[in-house]
Amino acid sequence: MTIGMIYSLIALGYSMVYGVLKMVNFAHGDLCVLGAMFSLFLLRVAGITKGRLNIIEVPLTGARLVGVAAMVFLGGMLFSAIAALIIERFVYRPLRRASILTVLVSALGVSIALENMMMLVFGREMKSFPSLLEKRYFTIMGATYSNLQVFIAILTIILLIGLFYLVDKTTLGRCIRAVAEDKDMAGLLGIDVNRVIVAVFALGAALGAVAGISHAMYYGQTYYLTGYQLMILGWAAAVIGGIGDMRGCVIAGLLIGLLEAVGGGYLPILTGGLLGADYRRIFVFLVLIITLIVKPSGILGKPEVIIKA
Amino acid sequence: MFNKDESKAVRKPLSIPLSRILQYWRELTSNVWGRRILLLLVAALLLILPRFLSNYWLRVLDIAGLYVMMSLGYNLMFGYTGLFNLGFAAFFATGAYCYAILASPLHNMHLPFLVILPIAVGLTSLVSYLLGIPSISLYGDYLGLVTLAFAEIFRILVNNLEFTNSAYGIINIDPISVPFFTFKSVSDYYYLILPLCVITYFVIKRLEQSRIGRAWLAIRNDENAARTTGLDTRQLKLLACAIGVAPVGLAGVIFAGMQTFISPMSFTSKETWLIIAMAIVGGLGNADGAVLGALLLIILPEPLRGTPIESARALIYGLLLIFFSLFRPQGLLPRRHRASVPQAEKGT
Repeated sequence: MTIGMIYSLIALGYSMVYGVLKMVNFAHGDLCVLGAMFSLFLLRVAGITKGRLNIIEVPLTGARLVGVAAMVFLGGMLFSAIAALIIERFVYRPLRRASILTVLVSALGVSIALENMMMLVFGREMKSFPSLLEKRYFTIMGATYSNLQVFIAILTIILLIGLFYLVDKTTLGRCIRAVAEDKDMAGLLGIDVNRVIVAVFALGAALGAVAGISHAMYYGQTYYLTGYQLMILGWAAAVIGGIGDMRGCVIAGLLIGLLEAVGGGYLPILTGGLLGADYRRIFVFLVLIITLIVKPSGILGKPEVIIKA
Repeated sequence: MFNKDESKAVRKPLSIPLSRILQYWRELTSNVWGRRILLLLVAALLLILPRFLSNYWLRVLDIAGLYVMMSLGYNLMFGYTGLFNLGFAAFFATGAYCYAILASPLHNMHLPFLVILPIAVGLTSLVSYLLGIPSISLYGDYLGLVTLAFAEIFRILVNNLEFTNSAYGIINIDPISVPFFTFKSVSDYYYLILPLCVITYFVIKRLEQSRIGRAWLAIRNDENAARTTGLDTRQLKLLACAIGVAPVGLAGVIFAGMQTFISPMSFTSKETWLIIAMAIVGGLGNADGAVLGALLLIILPEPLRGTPIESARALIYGLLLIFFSLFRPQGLLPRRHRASVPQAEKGT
């Protein structure tokens, strides 16, 4: 379920960018990891490993913990957002009116370049990522949760509520929706389309960074190629949910997380050990392909013209 | 609308020296005899090349030849027809695993190369065709996602199934042999790969100029318009799927025979990205471009091996993709339009 929330956040980033630009941002998964990498760097600089300050051996509790967590998440979000802005300004903006295939190729290029850059800067090995919280488990209604899972879930829910409020109620949100509806018309009505697009990119990348950091904490590690997996799964969630539709994305993200968890847990039991937990992703992709065939606009999407046949 | 003038303005400073070189080239090749002599020279050079090269460089050339085939296939799908396939590594792996399973001690099968070849290539085409049936009506990025998901499924399967010896890979694959001859050294393989490349090139070149090729191009430029002129776009796209991966399957077979060892690690998404980069750099919709792109991207980085720049190889590929889509989306050797073909390079 927690992992589903992470996928939801990534899917939202895809969906929002797709909404305003009608393009798939291949580099989104890598931006998520970039956020995680940067906050890991921050943690190293601050000398924090395994949930305590190393230099003076102070356990992180109370206000200190909140401060460190805020630093980690805000730092990662900021860094990812800045990276997204640079990419948007120098790669995607000049290509705004180019053919969609050209844009896809350039996005692919950005993704490859980012991955390799992370490898060069942060190293090519798996890195352990401190979870900050001392592991504690508790049981609610027969299921066991760790405090980290609860923390990620609460954080995600807060972010989601904030995001929905932003998009539904504020002026910026109204502008975003207008641009998503019709870019040229929005421009004619006096909306600064470029600024809206920039805002959406930054927002999407910041959400992605939260997802990337949560993912790193959840698995206790980060790796420069994680972005590729996140990219596929997040994109899959966005498409299953109906790209451009935020509620659909959240639901689809949770669905994929659930599929993975259930698949990983029950597959070996159900098939008598014939199919191991390694096969869980296959079901996610099968669901994706079936969704695309049966209802290409996604489970909640409007039947838009995305099929050209 | 605005696009045309805008992109021209950006392109201009870059294309002046290039166009001059191209102009000399065209003068030379516009003459029939000039073209024939040039062709003969190139053929002779290619044939005697192994005498002058070390085994190391021959190996590089062998690999480059395999990529030439794949790049040609990719060009057919993406460059001519506009099908955005992100799962090329899976088709490469299909060919390679087909050969490896049918000619290795793993299942104790040792079928001859000439029997496996049609099976492997046919199977690769069939897989692509079957994948195409449900997904072909999707457009652009959606098709990309489906093929990407397919490649992932394929990778997970190969990585876990006993049948493919899971993550250990398959070792001791029989070297490729035809009756009376077994390909052993790298120069043997050079003489195997070279004619295959040439055949692939000419088949694809002929296809490009055929009715089907023009129909594919029409689909790429405007699918709805192509449909209104009475083309069965669905069947044509499926055909492009099936034919486009055939050289990729072929390259996979040769790869397995040449390496005598394959594992899932050889077929990651990196291969797909590399092939895409080749097609883009060389020029989409042009078989010459595909060849040029493959040769450039395999041979140029070789001298950098062992230097610190080597680990930045993927970075350079990525930047190349960005650079080309920004400044020269048509690639180094763009498709030349015949007089009868109206100038309509722009996609949607």
